[in-house]
Amino acid sequence: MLDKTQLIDELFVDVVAEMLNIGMGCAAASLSEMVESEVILSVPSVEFVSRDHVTEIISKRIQGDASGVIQRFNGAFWGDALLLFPEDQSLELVRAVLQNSISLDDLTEMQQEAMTEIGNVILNACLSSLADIFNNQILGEIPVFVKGPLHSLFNDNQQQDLIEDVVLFLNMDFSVKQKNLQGYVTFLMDINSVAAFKENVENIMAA
Amino acid sequence: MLMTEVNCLIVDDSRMSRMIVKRIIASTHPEWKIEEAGDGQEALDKASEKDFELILLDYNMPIMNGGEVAEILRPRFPEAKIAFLTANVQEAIKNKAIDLHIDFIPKPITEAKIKKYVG
Repeated sequence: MLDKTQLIDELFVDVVAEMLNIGMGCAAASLSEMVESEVILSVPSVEFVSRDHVTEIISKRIQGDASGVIQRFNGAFWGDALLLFPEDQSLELVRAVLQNSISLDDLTEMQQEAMTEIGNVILNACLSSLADIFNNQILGEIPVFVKGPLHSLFNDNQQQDLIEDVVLFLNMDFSVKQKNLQGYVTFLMDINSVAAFKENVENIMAA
Repeated sequence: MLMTEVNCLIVDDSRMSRMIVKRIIASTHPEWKIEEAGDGQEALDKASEKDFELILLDYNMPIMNGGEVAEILRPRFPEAKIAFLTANVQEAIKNKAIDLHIDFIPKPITEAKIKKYVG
């Protein structure tokens, strides 16, 4: 059994935070292009937490229901990438992206599909950037739209023993200037994936 | 610049993306015939019925990915303009486009990118 203390150290956290910065920089550029407005990024956070604790951390940022997209990824390392917004802001985001190109009725009808595609663009921009840094391919599965209480988004499909699993929690908050929008991008990787991820990081540093 | 009579095929599992691309192309070329496919198999079915001069292909799709579709469509339409139009902007996917002799347009979709590509 791998121990998290063997995996994480100050340098590793620093390198991972910088990679997340680069990945989210690409994601922010994509979002900025879509909403035609500046996107402001937070400082990345990198920590080991239990899956259960992830809900607690995010619920400090999102009160009430959330909506967004989850995309599973595989390859050199694996895990789940999540893009989440407070539910009451999701329609605003879709409106910001589609602007005046469709009617309000169509906007509501297409909210789910639009959110999925927005998530697809943002999460793939970030994952693609990480893949290129590692000179490796990451295979993203089809993104899935999610909506509801945070706890159900994170734990509904997990077996009880997995809920207490420790995961690497990478998170960055972003907001869209001039629009009242805040979103959260989170990556969750289990211990074995983190070990593979760390090996990739070490290869880069040794090169 | 493509010829006057153009049949276009937009392949994307996102209805929103298909809608935006279709609107952009139709705004500049209202005479072009634009068809949509929501997955790779539907694209192949449509391509077996008629010829296309312009094909825009998403990469990450259910059933068949854009690469698998392009492998079949490129030899079928050697003269067509074919491009991946995808959020998967990894070097590996860009290289795949080069190997398949097709173009690469990174998402997000913008009017400028689509107009520049279709002419």
